[in-house]
Amino acid sequence: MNGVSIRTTDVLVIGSGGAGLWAAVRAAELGARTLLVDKGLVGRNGNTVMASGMTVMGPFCIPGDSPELLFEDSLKGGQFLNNRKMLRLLIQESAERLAELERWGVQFDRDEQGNYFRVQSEGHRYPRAATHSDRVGLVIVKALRRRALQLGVQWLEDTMVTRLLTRDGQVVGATAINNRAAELVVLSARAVILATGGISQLFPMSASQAPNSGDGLAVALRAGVPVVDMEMIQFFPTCLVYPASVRGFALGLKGKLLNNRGERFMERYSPEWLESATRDVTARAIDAEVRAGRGTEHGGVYKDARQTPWRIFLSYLDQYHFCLKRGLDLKRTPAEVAPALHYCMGGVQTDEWGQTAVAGLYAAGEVAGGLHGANRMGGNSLADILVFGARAGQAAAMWAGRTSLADPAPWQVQEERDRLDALLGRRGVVRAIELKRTIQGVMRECAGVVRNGPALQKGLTQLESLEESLSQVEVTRRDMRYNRELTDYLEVENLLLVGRAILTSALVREESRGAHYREDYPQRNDTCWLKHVQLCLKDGHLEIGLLPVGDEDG
Amino acid sequence: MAKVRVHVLRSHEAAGSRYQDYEVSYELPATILDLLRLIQQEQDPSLGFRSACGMGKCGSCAVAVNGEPVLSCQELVTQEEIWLEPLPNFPVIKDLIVDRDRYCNNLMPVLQQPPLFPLVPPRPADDPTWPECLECLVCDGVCPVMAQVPERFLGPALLAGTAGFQKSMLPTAWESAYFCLLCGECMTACPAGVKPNDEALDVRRQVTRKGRLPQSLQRLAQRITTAHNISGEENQARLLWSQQADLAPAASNPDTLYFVGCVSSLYPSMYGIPQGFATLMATCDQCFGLLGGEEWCCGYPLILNGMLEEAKELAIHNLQRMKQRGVKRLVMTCPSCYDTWHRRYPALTGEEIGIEVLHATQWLAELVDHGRIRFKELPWKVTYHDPCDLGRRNETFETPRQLLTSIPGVVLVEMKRNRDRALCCGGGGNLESFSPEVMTAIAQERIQEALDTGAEALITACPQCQRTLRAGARSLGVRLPVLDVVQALWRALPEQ
Ligand SMILES: Cc1cc2nc3c(=O)[nH]c(=O)nc-3n(C[C@H](O)[C@H](O)[C@H](O)COP(=O)(O)OP(=O)(O)OC[C@H]3O[C@@H](n4cnc5c(N)ncnc54)[C@H](O)[C@@H]3O)c2cc1C
Ligand code: FES
Repeated sequence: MNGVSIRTTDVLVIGSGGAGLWAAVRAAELGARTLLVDKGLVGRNGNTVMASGMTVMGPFCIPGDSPELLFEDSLKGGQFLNNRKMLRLLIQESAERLAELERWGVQFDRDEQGNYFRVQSEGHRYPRAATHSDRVGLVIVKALRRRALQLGVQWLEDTMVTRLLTRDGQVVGATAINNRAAELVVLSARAVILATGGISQLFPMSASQAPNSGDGLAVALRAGVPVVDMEMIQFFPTCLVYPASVRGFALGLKGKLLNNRGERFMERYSPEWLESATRDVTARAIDAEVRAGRGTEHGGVYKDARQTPWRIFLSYLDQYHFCLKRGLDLKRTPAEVAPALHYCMGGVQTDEWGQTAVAGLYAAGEVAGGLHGANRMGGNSLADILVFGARAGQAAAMWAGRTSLADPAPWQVQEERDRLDALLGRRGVVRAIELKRTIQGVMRECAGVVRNGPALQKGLTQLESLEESLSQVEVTRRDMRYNRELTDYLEVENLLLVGRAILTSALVREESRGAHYREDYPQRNDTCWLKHVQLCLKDGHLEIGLLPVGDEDG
Repeated sequence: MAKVRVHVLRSHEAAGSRYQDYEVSYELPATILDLLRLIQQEQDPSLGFRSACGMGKCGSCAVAVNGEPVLSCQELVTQEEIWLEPLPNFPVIKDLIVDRDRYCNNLMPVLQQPPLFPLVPPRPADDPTWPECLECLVCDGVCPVMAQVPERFLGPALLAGTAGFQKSMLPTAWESAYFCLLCGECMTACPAGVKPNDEALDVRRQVTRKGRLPQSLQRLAQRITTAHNISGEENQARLLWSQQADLAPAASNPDTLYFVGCVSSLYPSMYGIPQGFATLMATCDQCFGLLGGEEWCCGYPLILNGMLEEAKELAIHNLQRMKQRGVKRLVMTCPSCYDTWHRRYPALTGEEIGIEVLHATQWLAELVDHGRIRFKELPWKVTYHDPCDLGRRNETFETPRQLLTSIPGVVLVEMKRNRDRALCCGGGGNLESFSPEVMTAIAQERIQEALDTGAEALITACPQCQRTLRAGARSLGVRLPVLDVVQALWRALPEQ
C-alpha cells in the first residue's frame, strides 16, 4: 500500500524553475529552513532552461537607452495593462540580480572589447537582452541550483503538489505525491511559495515540451486565491510546424517572414517594426496569412534566415544545430513556422512581494499574473523570475520568522488521501491522455490567436462537459510509483480548471488588447477596459471581478 | 511512416529486470524520446523514463541506446531495431529512471568548501561556441572507472562541472583525478562538447604542484627522470630486442627513425612488437634508424602525472637528438608516444617540431597499398581493440582494421563497443601504477567483450593495451592471444 509521510520546513517552495530556485536561495540566505519540491528534476523540468535572453537595465545599458524607455516599451507592449509598480521594480532590480549572478560566476556574453553583448527582442527599441550563447536560462538555473546546494536547501524531486493546505485563512502547507517513494507526502510549512510556471500542456502546439500544466494556478484557485488576466495568453509567432518531431520548437533566430508568394507580409501588418513587432502582432499576422490561403504546405509561413548575419546565429547556435541535425539547415533553407503557445501572462494575483490573498502564500514567476499586461516582451520573463523570485523568497522567509508552525488540518489530509485512494486502480472507459488531447483541441479552436464570443462560449460548454467525464477516467495501477495515468489525471483536472478560467476571462473582455484578440470586438477600448479580469473559485464556479488598472500603484 | 522494434529494459521489483518489446510506427525524423513518448501514450502508460525540454537543454533524458549512453531527445532513430537501457553506472529507480543523487551529494562538499565562488566554471565570455555542461550525466554513464569504483571516483561530470574550482584540497577530488583513465570516452559521448578529461589533467597539475602526487606515481616519475625510462633499467637495454633477434638498424643515418618507446623496448614480453615491425620493414627494404640508449621516455607518463616541466625536459632531449641526426620522419608502434610527439610536444615546447610523425600502422598501410608487402593465406577470426591514443584521440580507426583484413583469410569481427566508443583497456592515465586492481577489472571487462565475439585473437595497436589486456586475460584464466597489428602481420608473412 502507498504510504504517507510528513516533511516539515519553514519555507516550502513549489516548483524549481528560475523563480522557485531564486526564492529558495533567498529564503535560505535569510536563514529559513527551505524545502524545494518539483514534479521533475530540480531546475530541469520547466521552461527556464530553454530561455535564451534576459532583459536587463543598469549602468551598462547601451547609449541612448534608459530604464524609462524600457518602461515605456514594456507598457506599450503590454498595452497598459501591466502592474506598473511591479514593472518599475522589474526594471530597477534586474541589474542587481544580474550582478549577483555574476558574483556567483556566471559570465554573460561580451564582445572583444568587453562590452555586454545584447540581443534585440520583439517590441524593444534597443537591444537589451543579455545572453550566454543560446543558454542563458540553463546557466542561470545551474548557478542557482548550486547556490541552493551550497546553502543547504533541501529538495524533493519527482514530487507533484496536489493541493494547498490552509487553516484559518492561512496557508500551512501542501500535499504532494512523491513518485519516487510512491507515497503521499504532507508538506508542513510556515510559508509557501508557488513557482510552478505556466501552462505548456494546455494547447496542442506548444513552444515547450515541459510538463507544466497550470498546477499552481489550479491549486491556488481551489484554495480560494484569485487569479488575474487569464485571457492573456502569448503565442510565440514563429514556431516550427514541420517536421512532426520538432513541432512547436520556438525559432527565435531572426529572419524575414515570407508567405507562399514570397511576400514580406509584415510590411503590411507592421510597417514600422516588421518582424520585430511584438509577438501578438506577428502571431496574428501569420495566422491571417495562413487563413487567407497564403500559407505553406504544413500550415505556416516561411522564416528566412539566409541573410541573417552569422554573429546573430551565434546567439542561437543551439537552435541552429538542433534544426540542422533534423535536416533543416537554416542558413540555406527557410523554415515553416506558425504561432504556438508560449507564455501565460495571467496568473495568481500578487503584490510586489509575491504575497497572495492568503496569508503565508506567495507566488512568483510565470504562475503569477499582472506584471506583463496583455503581452509579455521578449526577455522580460527571465528578469521577472529573478526579481520576483528573490522578492517572494525574502517575504516568505520574513513571514516564516513571524509565524508559528501550524499542523495541517487532519481532515484536509484525509480528504486528499481518500480522493487519491479512490482514483488508484479505478476502472474506467476514458484515458486521461485522450482527455488531455481533447482539451488541447478545444483550447486551440476557441482560445487561440483569434477569438470570438460564440466560440469561447462553446469552448466553455465543452470543457464543462469534459469535467463530467473525469469520473470515467481509468487509472489502472494502484501503485503510486511514477504512475503516469495518475499524473495525467491530476494534470487533466488542473488543465480543465485553468482552461475554464482562460475562456471565462476571454469571454468577459469584450475588446481586443495585446494577445487577446476578439474578432467580434476588434478594437481596443480604453474607456471600458483598462481593467484586469479577476477570477475566484467559489463552490466550483468562477466568480468574475473587474479591477481598474493603476490601483496597485497606490 | 516508419516502423521500429524497441526493446526496453524494464525493472520489475520482484522479478528483476527484463526486456519488453514494443513495435512503434513513427514519422521521420524522430528521436528516441519521441518513441518513448509514443509508447507511453499509445501503448503502455506504465513505462517509466525521464524527459522535459525535448531540446537538449535540461539534461534529464539520458538513456543507453544500443549500449551507448546518449540524450534521448537528441538521438535520431536510424535503425529498425533498438535496445534501450537505463543510463549505466547509476542505481535504477524504475525502468529508465535512474537515481542521480550521487552527483549532487558529491557536488555539495565541493561547493561548500571555501573559497566559495565561482559556482559555475569560468569561460571566455566572447566565445559563444564555448561548450556548457548540461549535467546530463551521460559521461558518468560511459565512464569505465565509474563502473568499478563509484564510491571512490567523483566521475567525469563532476570533474568537468567544477572546472576551475580549488577542488584539489578535497581528498576524493585528487584521488579521482588519478583514477581517471584519460581515455576520452566521456568527451566523445558528451552531447555538449565538454572535455572532462582535460579537467582531470588540470587537477593532477594542481595536486602535483602541491606535492601530493600519490607515491606509486612518484616512484614512476622518479624512474623516468633519473633513468629516462619507465622501468628504471639501464637505458642501453633499449636495444636488447634487436640484438636478441639480430635485427640491427639498417643504415647509419637514414631519414626515418623508429622511436620504439619504453614499453616495447624494456619489457621482454613486448619485444615481439619492435621485432615484428623491423621484420616487416626488412621484407620491403625499408630502413630506419634507432636512438638506442639515447632514446629517452617521450614524457607521456609525466604529462599524465601533471608534471609538464619535467616532461618538457625529455621532449627537448629527444627533439635535439632528432635534429642532430637530421631525421625527417619519425615512426612509432606506440600510440601514446605518437600522440605525445605529434600533439603534445608542440604544446610543451611552444613550437612546431618540424618532423613528420607516423604511427606504424599508417606507414604499413602505405606499403601494403603499394603492394610492397604481401601476405600469405591465414584463416583467422580476430577482433580489434582501438587504443584510446590512436583511435579516439587521433581518429585512426580504419587503418589498422584495413591492415588486418588485407591478410587473406582473416575475418574481422567487432566488439560491442568499438571505434570512438571503444572501452579503454584499463591501462590509460597511469592507472597501472595508481590502482592495478581497477585496471585489471576493466581489462577483464574488455577481454569478456572480445570473448563474446568468438574471435580467436584480440589484436590491438599499442604495447600498453597489449600488456594490460594480457594481464586481464591471465587473471580471468582464459587463453585468448593478445597481439599487436604488426605481430599479426608478421605472422602472415610468407616463409622466405
Ligand atoms: C522555448 C521557450 C523559450 C523561452 N525564451 C525566453 C527568453 O529568451 N527570455 C525570457 O525572458 N523568457 C523566455 N521564455 C519564458 C521563460 O522561460 C519562462 O516564462 C520562465 O522561465 C518561467 O520560469 P518559472 O520559474 O516561473 O517556471 P518554470 O521554469 O517553467 O518552472 C516551473 C517548475 O515548476 C514545476 N512544477 C509545476 N507544477 C508542479 C507541481 N504540481 N508540483 C511540483 N512542481 C511543479 C515544474 O516541474 C517546473 O520545474 C521562454 C519560454 C519557452 C518555452
Ligand atoms: S529532454 Fe531535456 S535534454 Fe533531453
